[in-house]
Amino acid sequence: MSAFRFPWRQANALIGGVLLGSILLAAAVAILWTPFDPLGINLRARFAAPSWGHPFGADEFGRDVLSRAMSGALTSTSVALLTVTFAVLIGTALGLVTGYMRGWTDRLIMMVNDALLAFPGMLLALGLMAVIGPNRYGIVLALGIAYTPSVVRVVRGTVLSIREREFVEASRVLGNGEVFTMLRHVLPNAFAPLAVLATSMFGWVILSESALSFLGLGVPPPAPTWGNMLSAARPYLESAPWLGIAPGLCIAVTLLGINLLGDALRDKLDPRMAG
Amino acid sequence: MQSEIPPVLEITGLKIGLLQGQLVVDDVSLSVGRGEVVAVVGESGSGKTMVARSVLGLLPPGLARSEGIIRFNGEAIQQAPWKRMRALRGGEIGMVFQEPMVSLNPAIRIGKQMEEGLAIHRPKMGREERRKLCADMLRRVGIDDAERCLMAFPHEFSGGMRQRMMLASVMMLEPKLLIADEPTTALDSLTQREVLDLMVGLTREMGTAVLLITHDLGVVARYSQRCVVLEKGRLVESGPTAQVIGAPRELYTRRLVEAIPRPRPRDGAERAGEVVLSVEKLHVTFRRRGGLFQRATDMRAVKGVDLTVRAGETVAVVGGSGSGKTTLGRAILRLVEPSGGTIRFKGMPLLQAGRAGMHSFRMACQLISQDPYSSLDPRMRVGDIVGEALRLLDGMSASGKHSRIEEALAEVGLAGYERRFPHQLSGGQRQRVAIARALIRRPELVIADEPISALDMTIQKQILDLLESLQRSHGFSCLFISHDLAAVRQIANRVIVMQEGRIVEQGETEAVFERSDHPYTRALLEASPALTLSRKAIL
Amino acid sequence: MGRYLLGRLLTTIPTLLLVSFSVFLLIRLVPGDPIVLMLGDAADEETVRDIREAYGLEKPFFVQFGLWLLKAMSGDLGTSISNGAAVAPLILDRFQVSASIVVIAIVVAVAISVPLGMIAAWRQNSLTDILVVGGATLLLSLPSFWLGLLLLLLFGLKLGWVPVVGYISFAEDWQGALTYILLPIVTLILIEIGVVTRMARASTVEVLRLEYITHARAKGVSEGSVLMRHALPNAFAPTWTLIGLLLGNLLGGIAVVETVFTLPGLGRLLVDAIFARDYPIIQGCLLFTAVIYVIVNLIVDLCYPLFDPRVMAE
Repeated sequence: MSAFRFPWRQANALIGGVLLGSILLAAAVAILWTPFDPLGINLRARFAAPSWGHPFGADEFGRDVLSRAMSGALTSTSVALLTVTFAVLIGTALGLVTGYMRGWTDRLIMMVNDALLAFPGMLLALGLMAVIGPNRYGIVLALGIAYTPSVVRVVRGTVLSIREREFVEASRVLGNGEVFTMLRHVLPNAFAPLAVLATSMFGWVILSESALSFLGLGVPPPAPTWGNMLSAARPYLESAPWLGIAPGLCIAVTLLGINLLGDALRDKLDPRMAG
Repeated sequence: MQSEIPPVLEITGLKIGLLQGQLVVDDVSLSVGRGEVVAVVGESGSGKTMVARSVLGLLPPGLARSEGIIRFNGEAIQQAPWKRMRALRGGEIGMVFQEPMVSLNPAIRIGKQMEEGLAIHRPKMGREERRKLCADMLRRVGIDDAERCLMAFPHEFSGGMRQRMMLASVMMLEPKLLIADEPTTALDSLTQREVLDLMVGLTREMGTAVLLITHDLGVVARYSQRCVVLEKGRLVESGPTAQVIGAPRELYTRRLVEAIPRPRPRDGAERAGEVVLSVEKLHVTFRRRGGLFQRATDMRAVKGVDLTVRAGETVAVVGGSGSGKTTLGRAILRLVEPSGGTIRFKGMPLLQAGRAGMHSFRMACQLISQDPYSSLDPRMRVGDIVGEALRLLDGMSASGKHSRIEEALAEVGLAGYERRFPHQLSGGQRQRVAIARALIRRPELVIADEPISALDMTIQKQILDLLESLQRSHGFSCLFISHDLAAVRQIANRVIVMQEGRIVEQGETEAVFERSDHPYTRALLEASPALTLSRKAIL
Repeated sequence: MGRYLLGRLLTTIPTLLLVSFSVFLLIRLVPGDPIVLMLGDAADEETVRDIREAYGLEKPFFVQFGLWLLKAMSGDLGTSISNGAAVAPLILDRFQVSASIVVIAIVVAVAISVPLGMIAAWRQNSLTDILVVGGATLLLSLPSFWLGLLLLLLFGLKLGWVPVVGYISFAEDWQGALTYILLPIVTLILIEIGVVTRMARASTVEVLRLEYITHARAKGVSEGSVLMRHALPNAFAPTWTLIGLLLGNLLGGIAVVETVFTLPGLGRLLVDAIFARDYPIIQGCLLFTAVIYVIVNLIVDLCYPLFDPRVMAE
């Protein structure tokens, strides 16, 4: 209808790449260097407003917000990366098994899976955190368990549809065994939906981790995360609003980057959906 | 001749292009006179559908008419104002689409959808009258239980029934022109015949002119008075149908006509070698799992089939949809488990075969399946797809495998295509890859399940010829499963006719085609437009 | 038709059983003696033994589960460790706060988003479309607790239009109550508009390219009717399913918003209980929220055939 076709995929990939790239870069730099020690207390800089010395200001202990945001980027992205890896590895293995082998294994795994899916993800994570207690690896475990069931479901669904495709049948007719067929033909073709899911899951995990940290159930202070920085900024919202800007902006930029990249990826893998 | 009364539809110099400027329809002109059936013929990419859609301004986004005049009863409508166009759509010009499964709205009851057109174009008609008219019209297209049908949703009906409903809802408004875009391509040949007969009958009664878009020369010959041949958006030839098909002037038209399979004289002595495959009393039952409130039911797809295939011969299995012919092929390949009977491959009982027995069977029996878009792994290169078949062959060096792959691809006319991916190939090329994969291990038996039905006509001919020549050089036996009787007549030595899971007739090809008196076989034969056409062409 | 509905209803029973079993099991996974956990560290040995018997903890695991489940079904979720109050009434009380925010937010967000998404899809690739999709993606990327803080900063602190801290129940003073829950609702609406608009647009784009839409146009149906009568029911079906998921996710994650606006809702109850290690309350909150989620999805599925009658055939 319209004469102008907006290049969605290119625009999404470019903007999303730049946004997420800058966050990842900040996280990578934070491994080696931050302008100030993110934990270094400096009472003279308490509530320093943004300036050249402290571009994002300083908090109630005089800690540099930029350094803390960079260190938080490292924490959040590494937690998200670990969690997504956990969920994708375990979820794919279980999904392949349930999608390919019918019978009792399939039913049992799917029963547990459906039970976990019957909880909203964040609620399950909260419940697990109540059991595990707040710490960095506890978060990975809790969010990993909370998000694995959706990977299982997507992989299983994809496997069920791919195994009906004629090229899988052709592989069987050639005389290939079931395991070979699964690894050579089914798994590689399940990659596309898995990649789309893993991308958006990265975003969900960043968000959930921040929310848990914001509630005080995530990575415990003094280690900075965007969530616990926001939580700490809350009492000073009126007097030092900059404390709440930087960490929130970081989360938003990360999520926007991931959402845009996810859209670009989905358009590339499923050209029908391209705008 | 028609200088005073203008034709119902007259298209002159039509050009349709992509927004980037590339033309998909380039300078096409045609006209449809009163009560006339004019066919537009072409293969995929010929732009025939776009010509049809442009008449009512229904081009998909991204395409637009750039030049040309479209006249309806003398009135130029290519830039008709919105209101006039809406009055034309449905009211004066009706349109029937290709896919009956997706052209009715799944969320709205049939009655409501039919009434919608009446509400727009006959606003004065009362509700009761509308309903009565809808029911009458449904009865006229052969739906007896019209009242119930009006209250039902589309998903409750088969494709053939839905296409009847479409036809009813369009013809109910008594349009002056009916545009039918491949109206029966998605239906099996028996249903196709019924729906087309119905369509032509109704339009003749109402004096409606028809623009029939099709790829099937048989349909053109049977139903149209005049026809227009398109190739890649350009008009190749047009004129009275008998003349265009009987004595084509242009090269492309000649190729189309030649693509209709013809029976050819068999080379004297029939090859009657040893029995490769023998099937006895084969049953296949699909168990539909019972739900909470439904008992498990058995669906018997194949009911006691006996057949043999000898070395070097081609046996065709034909039948309408639901005849069980595809299930039969899959059961022989052990892709579905038969529920009873025996299958012997060169004397070895397959259903009791162990691992080694199955391995040797797999090595010697291959499949070519219908849909070349789904039968090749999209993530593998052509060379790897074909080469995968060699993985299980012992004692073959890497270089030996490589030259074998090259040879196999060269045989199907795809030399140098090793590095391509399936999505870079056309449908015909993909089917060639599937054939190379099936034949690279030199199997003794090939089961071809509708190997050409997804392809364009000229490509069908090439693939059929390729299969024949490969069979001559390698001497494999072939079980050729098809609904395309003309193709069967060209390629098969013997024919098996299946109906509802049983064999109703079998015999030598010519004997079945020329002398069968089984009613189901006769109905199938008569429903095949290409077959009648090829018969005519021979006489 | 009845078969689909009844079948869907019956599959809910095993799901509910599994859900309650998971909740029961989860709390049992907490390291330490459940009675000590339940009573706190200060309990003396005798009380522990008495309670152990009273709760039937000597009985086999599955019997314990059965007893617990029976009690839960009769509305008894135990008592809080910290203050001895009955858990079930407490949860219901807090749930009213959370539910009113979540339900209002979803209804408003859907009412805004579905037309917005459909128009964007109808005008695909136009400036409107780009703005709508861009805006929705931006909203989708905002964490609710940050957006809430920003709104609070602007409307509460800078402009002083709404109170910053506190809550009055609707029963006391509905106008006053509204001012307290206005910002949380707006926060959720903004976030959900992002999700729902994108979904509504995507499914409308899918539907608009289907043949029956062209067929409707070929019948002379006007563009408005094409959108409202032909596209809407089909395009709304996926959005309808999404609503069930959203409602559950909002309830599950409501704690952050309640924290920002200091609302005494269900989420806050759960988080406070986690800090206080008040396991009966944790257990109750998890069970209650999960059951609500299952029931909401059941209702969503039961209504689904209204938009897509095809499911009845399966």
